[in-house]
Amino acid sequence: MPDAVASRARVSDVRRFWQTVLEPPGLLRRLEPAYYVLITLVIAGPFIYGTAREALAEVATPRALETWGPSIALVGLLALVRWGAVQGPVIFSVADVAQLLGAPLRRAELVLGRLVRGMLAAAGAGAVAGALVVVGFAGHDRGVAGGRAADLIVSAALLALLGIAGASLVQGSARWDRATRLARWPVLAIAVGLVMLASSGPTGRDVALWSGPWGWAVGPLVGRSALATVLLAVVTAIAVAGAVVRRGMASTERHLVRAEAREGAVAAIYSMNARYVGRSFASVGSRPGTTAGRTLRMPRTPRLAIAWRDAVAALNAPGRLGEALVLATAGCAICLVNADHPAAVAGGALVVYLGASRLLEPLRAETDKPSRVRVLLRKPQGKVMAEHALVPGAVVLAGAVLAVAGCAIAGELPSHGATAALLAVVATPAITMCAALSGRRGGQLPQSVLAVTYGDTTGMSSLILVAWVVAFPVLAIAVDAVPVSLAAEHGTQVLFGCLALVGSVSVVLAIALGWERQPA
Amino acid sequence: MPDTPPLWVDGLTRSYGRLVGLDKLDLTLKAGECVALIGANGSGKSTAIRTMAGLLEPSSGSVRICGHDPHTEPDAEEARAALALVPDTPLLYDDLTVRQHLGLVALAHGVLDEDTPARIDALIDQLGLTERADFLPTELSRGLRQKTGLACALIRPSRVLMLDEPVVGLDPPSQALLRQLLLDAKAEGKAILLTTHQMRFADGIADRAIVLGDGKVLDRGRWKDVRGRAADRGWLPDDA
Repeated sequence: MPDAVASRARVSDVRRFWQTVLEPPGLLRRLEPAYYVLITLVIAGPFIYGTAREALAEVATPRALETWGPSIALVGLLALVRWGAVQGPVIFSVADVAQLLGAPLRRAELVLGRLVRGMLAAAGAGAVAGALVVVGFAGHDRGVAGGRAADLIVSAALLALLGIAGASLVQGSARWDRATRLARWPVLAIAVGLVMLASSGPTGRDVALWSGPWGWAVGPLVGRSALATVLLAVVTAIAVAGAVVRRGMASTERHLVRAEAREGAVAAIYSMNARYVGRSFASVGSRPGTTAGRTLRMPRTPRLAIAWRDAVAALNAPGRLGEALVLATAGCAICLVNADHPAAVAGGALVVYLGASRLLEPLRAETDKPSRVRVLLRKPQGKVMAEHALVPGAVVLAGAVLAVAGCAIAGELPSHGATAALLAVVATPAITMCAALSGRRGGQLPQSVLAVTYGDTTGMSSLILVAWVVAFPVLAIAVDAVPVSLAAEHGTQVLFGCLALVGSVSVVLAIALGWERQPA
Repeated sequence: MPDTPPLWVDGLTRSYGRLVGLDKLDLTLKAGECVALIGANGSGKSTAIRTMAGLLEPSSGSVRICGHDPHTEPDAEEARAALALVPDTPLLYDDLTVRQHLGLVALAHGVLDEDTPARIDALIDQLGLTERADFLPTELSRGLRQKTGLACALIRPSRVLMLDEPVVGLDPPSQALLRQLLLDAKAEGKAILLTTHQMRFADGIADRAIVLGDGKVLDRGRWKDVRGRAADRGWLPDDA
């Protein structure tokens, strides 16, 4: 065994070791990806460009950018910063954590290359996103001056750089992590406020565009001064400097949990299990035993056992319960306030669906381990699944009632508001059951669905796969959006027809959910 | 700092939310001494060793390895230079052979010189890995991967050797070999901290023992005394 006294190792030596052991690919091999990108662009580029230009031209209009741009940029920035809570720009494998982070190598030096690569990748992705916005903006023969286009692309790259610098700080510090976690909902509220502000008139638009880096990033394309870009560059430079100075300060534990989560997620991707991908990444932020241990008095009748178990689970995750309630309330409010815009109603219904999904974790747990149902619960699998929808259904229903009350008090109900509101509330059990049926299928494509796609040469298989994935969300949207939109237009004339429609769908969904399936 | 103990732990506590994985552990480990952390599954042994090694952040308390804090950069660099850890599950690269692992560890710890290949060969031979020296970890059994992890800890310079359940996956001859390696390391003046629930393995190696249960210290003292009391009180079967 060697002496305890050793010369200090250098990161550059380790890098050289890797290059020696794992021979770097030759020049031609390295150019291979670039070749494939180039050949794809040459063949499909004009078609992709034309399609993107036409499609984005509808969305990226000057008015839409002024109204929605700052909010979307703010939400994107938040998402990028929060990426640091799950992974972050500095990536190590589990073996790296043991062999490199466990060695007396200078952390700051070890991390620098990874941090720079992460920042360059983010800036590149931001520039591409900016270029896509420019393509759309210039569509419909609107055109855009070269200088303004370049400004927007640079601004988008700077915003992405700002986000990844924030992600690096979040990755390295529990304090930053906690602060940005607490800021999620306030930031989303600010984003909604920015849309309302920008919709209110020229002064509101100006305030939104100068409200921060998210507004400055959009500024160049809507004709604001170059000062916005300069301000954005200064803020980004400060954030990048902060991230570079604080690099290497993250604890080994923070790197280890991220490395383990990524390994789990990669394994789940290979087995095409979407649920476990999400669960692996979610494990980074989970703190075992942090629940308050709230409990409810046990019910006297076994019929309420599952509902009791779900209620305890919901109370032990108050954040999730709150999110579900907020999503259900917000989604229903969006439906009612915009009842004459079918796309907005559909969006609202999707938000309600997401609210219901938040509380279905116990149902997913039963699906993942059907043997548990057989061993611990005496009820048939189908009945257990149906009963798991009770608590989420009650929470979503409460959210919808709150939304109706709020809209009524604010005077925001649409024409024929009572009818639309009644249908929006009545549709919530069906939406919850759609979420439950989707959750019941597990996170993996079943062999029976995959079997249909084997050997397919018509291209229909991809449609089948997409249809399988989106079937229940689409049904949930339809069962809410169609009646509410019809009621807003035709009032009580369609009330009974719509009630019959929603009722029939609900019954069919309940039967489908309770359909007994023998546990594996 | 000649008087600095290789390992000094004061009031070390690690919580997982409400769950206290380790509660106020105090320990001073001298050079050439071996302390065994014993306890049943879930008693906090691994939490203790991982927190001391810097893999987990403490909730409170302090750790010093040769006077350096393994949780605060850049001081942790000095602590890592003095520490060799054998985790309960070997953490190896899928694309490096056994021999390459040892080369990398020697390099990362600044001990790569012209004698290194010979030292690597000798260690590989000593651990009975010669036939598999150029195999990837994915081609090795659990026990051979465990030996590779052990070799990675032994090839690097250290004053403190921490081993988390080192005998899991090892056959009896390999356990005997590991015992001899640990006795050699003690004789060289290394401080050894090992966790195990197999008390027979620690016989003859451990000088002192700490019994953990639910993260708390249930008993501590000289190995022979603690071993007897642990068996009497049913903390562990006399030899699991």
